[in-house]
This record gives sequence, structure tokens and C-alpha cells, in this order.
Amino acid sequence: MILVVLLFALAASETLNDLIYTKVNFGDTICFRMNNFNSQTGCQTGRDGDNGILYPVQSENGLADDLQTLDIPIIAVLNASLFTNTTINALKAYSQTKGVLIMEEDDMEPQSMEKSCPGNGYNIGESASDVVGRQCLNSHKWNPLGNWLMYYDLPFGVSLIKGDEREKVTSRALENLGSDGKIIATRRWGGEIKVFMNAAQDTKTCIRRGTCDPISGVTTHVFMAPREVAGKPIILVVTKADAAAFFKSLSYGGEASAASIAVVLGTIGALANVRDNDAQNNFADLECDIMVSFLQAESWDYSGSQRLAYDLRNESFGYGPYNISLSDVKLVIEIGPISISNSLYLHSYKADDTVTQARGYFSNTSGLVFTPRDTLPPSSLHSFYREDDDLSGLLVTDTDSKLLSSAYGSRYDILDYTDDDVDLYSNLSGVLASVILQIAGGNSTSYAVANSTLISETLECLAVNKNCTLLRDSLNQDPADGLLSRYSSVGIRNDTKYLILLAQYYSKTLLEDIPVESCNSTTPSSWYLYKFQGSCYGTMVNTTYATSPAFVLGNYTSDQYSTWTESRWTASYGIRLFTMTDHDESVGVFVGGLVYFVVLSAVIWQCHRKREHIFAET
Amino acid sequence: MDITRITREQKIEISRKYFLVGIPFLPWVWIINVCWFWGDAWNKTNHIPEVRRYVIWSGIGALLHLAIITAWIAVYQSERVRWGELGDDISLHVPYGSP
Repeated sequence: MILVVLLFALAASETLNDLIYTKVNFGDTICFRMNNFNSQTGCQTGRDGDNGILYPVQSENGLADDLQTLDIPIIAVLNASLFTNTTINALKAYSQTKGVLIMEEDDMEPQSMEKSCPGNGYNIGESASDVVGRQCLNSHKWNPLGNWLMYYDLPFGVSLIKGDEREKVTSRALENLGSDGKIIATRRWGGEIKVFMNAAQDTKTCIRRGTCDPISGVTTHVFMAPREVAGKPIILVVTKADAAAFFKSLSYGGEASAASIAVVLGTIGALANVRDNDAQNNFADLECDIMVSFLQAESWDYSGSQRLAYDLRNESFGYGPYNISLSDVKLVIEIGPISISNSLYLHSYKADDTVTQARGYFSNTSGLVFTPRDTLPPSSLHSFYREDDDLSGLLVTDTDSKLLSSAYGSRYDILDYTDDDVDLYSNLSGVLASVILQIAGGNSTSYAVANSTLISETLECLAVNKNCTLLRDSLNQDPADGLLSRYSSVGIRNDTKYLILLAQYYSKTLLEDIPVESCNSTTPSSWYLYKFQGSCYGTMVNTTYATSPAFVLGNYTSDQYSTWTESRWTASYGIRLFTMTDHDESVGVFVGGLVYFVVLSAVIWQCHRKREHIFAET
Repeated sequence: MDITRITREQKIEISRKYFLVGIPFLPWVWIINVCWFWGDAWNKTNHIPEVRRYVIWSGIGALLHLAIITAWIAVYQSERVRWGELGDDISLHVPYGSP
């Protein structure tokens, strides 16, 4: 009987919870906290959530003044186009802002939430401890449209609401406005946002308390052929593999890195074609080995490239012939953003003989124009130069004096490409393969061509839908639908696994002399063997951690290496809506109830005293 | 125990013991000593000089402790964050989500 009553009470309480609260579904688009060596960024709520009246923000103009007239806790509700510095500064200045709910807009002008000077403090010649506020050390702003919102420290939660959930929130928020456009006094809609972050203050503090983890992921490396001789010079080709955005789960990085990844993969494919089919270019006889690296965590002050350069300088990169040192690297070629313009620039910090030679191999080819520049935009090359400024480095990018993307470092950075663009990327891949081959001591060859169909399929995976033909074939299962988000995070994510698969696919060589039954790691071979579609293939793809050298050294206050960490948080987060009564009304009800209780108690007491008279027998 | 029923010598002994017990950072024992024996210490007609002595010392000790603890709490609350690792090491509970 008691059990039945308890079960009934439990069921009734769930129903009551549903009656009181309206849950808002927002997936995983939350803003969470990150720390570095001297600060914290991101968002934070109280442990049990923060609540306030839903306050619709109509305009950023005059918002600060309007908020001064209020004295109530608010959850600001605003359209995505109003998520600007002015709005956020006004909301931060109002001490009772408890949260911000952003309503996604379908057609919106893209905005860049990155720094106006990416890599500020970690470019060559800079020190992060010299950075004050949002001032760029290098006065040249490579990303002039950057509004730094990704690096704000917000004392409230922020979330993005999409789809039908927007109507749920905005309709209630607008009901809170009276005919005079001001918040009504009673019976208002309120909201609660709960996103509690464990970490605080800075990386040193949160690491000590065990409340955060270093930004990491793994960098994927591809050797075009087994490295037989230790100390043999290397041509190192690098590109950024990750992306970033205010809401990390929406880090698409279309223009920032998706196109360059496809081009580099195409280059690998073109080089593999030469390796496997061109008898004039025996890769074992080349003067240089060729290594390609897809650098993870680059969006966080070049963490991946810093780690690679550090490992190379300290000869802790690999084993045997793969224990490569920085002095083995003849040339670093980086492929930066290349998707917006077909006028490409060949930047270098200093134009030594190797760089001049490399530039000479680039020729204006169909649809592409190459122009040398003696400047160096924000790029991974800075990390290599900081370890060894005698290094030869070349950056290939469509950036001349500023980044062309207006959505750098935001969820709006989605690659929009055509068949003509695919042809251009294929051209570029072929040109790069030819240049690399010649610098490595090989001969120019007609085999250095990229497979444009493959590049098109790759772009579909990276920039349209990760449930794509190429990955389905490689994984033997269907990835989930949707754009591929490439935030590096703290572990090995699916997007990295996809990249490893793609790198294997492009770089593989068919090993006809090894039966597929023997195609496994126990078979002696210079190659890493794997079975694919009934045949045995060899590949030289491996990974290393992209964790910043600051964490290897245990120097969490380093101003030379990236120190970004991501806060830990509980899985219990969410947004819900409910009606809120006016405070005065609540007090009135309570006091009235108290008075009623006292009066009733007095009446009952008096009745008790006079019970013999009241209930006397007649 | 009903202190109104014990003898004068017993009161002196108890007051003395409470004073001694309170020495190792037990100011509450001293405060109890002061409260219990206030009457016996300051009774105009029948005060006990020895008890008065222990009550005075207990009172001074309790006030001193209160001042020290209050000062320490104020310093700890204002400086714990700045002390960094030391501040965390001397704290029983380190807060999540805040410095």
C-alpha cells in the first residue's frame, strides 16, 4: 500500500514538473569555460543554475540605459544579429544579467568572433605576457573584422536556440513586454539556465585543482614512403586541421581550414600517384623525404605546431629513422586559407635560397596566380620560426594583407564551393605536388595530378555532410548526418579519426605481393599494412599528441607556449522556462497567509476554551 | 550539574579546571566559565575571589581568541585567492567554478 502511494507520488511529481517547467532543447550549443596562463574565458552559471525574467532585447542602441531602469534579474533573449560587443558589454555591466539566449537567424551577415590579430602573443618575436586586454602586439590586424567575443569572460550562461525552439522562447519573452515596451510588473515568464563550470581563474589553478584538461587532440602525420635513412632531409608540409567558434560544437572552419585540408589531401594523392606510377621518380632515391602533418589545436595559439616544432627540436618525435630533428627539415611549406580567392601569395618570414628556389617552382597555372610576399600572416610557421629562426618556411594562402574571410573563427565559416572551385583546388594540389617533388630532388612529371573527383568527395565530407560516400566506405558504417565540427577539444574526436582515414585513403599504396590473409601488423614490412576492399595496402600514417609543450614542461604559466585548457563540467545542464510572480505579490501572499494563520489559530483556541458552551446539550 | 548546590571549594576547583581546559584553543570553555561563575565572581555580598580571578582570565582569553580568529578569517577570506596553491592547501573545501 505504501509502495503504491509512493509510486503514485513519484508519477504525480513528474507530471507536476512538466506542468511548471517548459524545457528548451538546444542540443550541445553551450558556451563553456576555457582558461589560459593568465585568464579565463567563456561562460559560467551558478551550481544550481541562474534564473531571471525573460527580457527581449530589441536593439543594442540604448540597451545600457534601458537596463539601468531595471532592478530585476534577467535572462536576455536576442536575435543572433544582436550578439555584438555593444550588447554583451551592456549586459555584462548590468549586474543582474543571469543568462543570454541567442535566437539563431537563418539569413544573417557572418561575423568573426576571433581576435582581430589571431595568434596574438605567439607570433615570432612576441610574448604572450606583453598582451594587455584586447590590444594587438603586432599593430597590423590580419583579421580586422574580428570582434574577440570568443575571448570574453562572461559571468552568465549563453546558449544558441535553433529551429522551433526559438518560437517557444521568443513568444514568452515578448509576453513580458507591456504596451509601453517595458517589462510588465506581474505574472512574467522567467527562465533558468544551468551550465556550471568547474574550472576558474587560470590554467595553473584549474590544473592544480583537477578541474580542467589541456586542449589537445592528435596531429596526423603522413610519410609518402617509409623513411629508411636517419638524418635524411625532410620536406615538411603542414596545414591546420581544426577549427574554432564561440559555440565549440559548431566549429566548421570551412574557409579557415576545410579547403586547405582537401588541397593537402589532394597533394598527397598526387604524390602517391607519382610514387606508384612514375619510374623516373623513385621516392627512396629522392634527396629528401616528404612528410605531411595535419596540425591539431592550431586555433588555440598554435598548440599543435608548437608541440611538433618542440618535439623536432628536442628529437623526441619518433623512433629509429623517424627520430627526426628540426635540423633535418629542409623546408616547411604551410597551406593556409585558400578558398576565397585564386590569387595566392607565397609568404615567408625570410627569403633564403631554399625559399627562393621553392617560389621559383610555383608558376602561374590555369586559374591560379602566385605572388611572393615577405610578410607572414598568422600561421603555424610562426611556431617553427620561434624554435629555429634559421628555418626555411613558405606559406601558401589567399591572404595578402588581411584574411579574406568575414567569418573567421565563427559558426558562419561554412565553405561554399562550386565545381570550378574543385577544379582550382585540384590544380593547386597538382602544383604543390610538383613543387614539393622538385624541392625534394625529383623531376617534374605529368603524374603529379590530383584526382578532382576524390577531392570533390572529400569536400563533401569536410564541408557539407560527414555522412559522405568516402567515410562510409572507410568506416563500413554511416556517420551521423550533419556538418563536421572540428573543435580539437581534449581527447581524440571523431573528426580526427575521419582525417586519419582520409589520409590513409589518399596515401595508400597497393602491396600486391602481400596476400590479404597476411595483411596485418605481424607481417614484416616497412609499411603499416591494412586491408581495404579485398586488397592489402600500405600506408605511413601515424599520430602524435598536439598538447602544448607548456604541459609537457609542467609550466602552466608559460607565456611562450599555448596554455589553453577546457573546463570540466557536469552532464547536468539545461534551460527551462516557467512563470514568475512578482516579488511584492509573493510577499503579500505570504504575509496574508501568516495573518490568516494567526487569526484562525486565535479563533480555534477560543472555540476550544468555550467548547462546553458551543457544544452544550440542549 | 546544578552549581547552586555545590560547595565553595568545589566551585573554585571547577572554575580553575575550566580555565586550564580552555587554554589549548578552546575559547568556548572559557566563555562557559565566565557565564556559569559570573554571579559567584561578582556577587556583592558573597563573591569568591579565586573564582573572580579565573573568570577574569577566562574572559580576557576568550576575547583574545575572538580577536585572533576574526582577524584570521578576514585575512583568509581576502587573501586566499592571491595565495594560490598555499590557499588551496590550507582549505578543507576548494570551491569549484570560482577562484
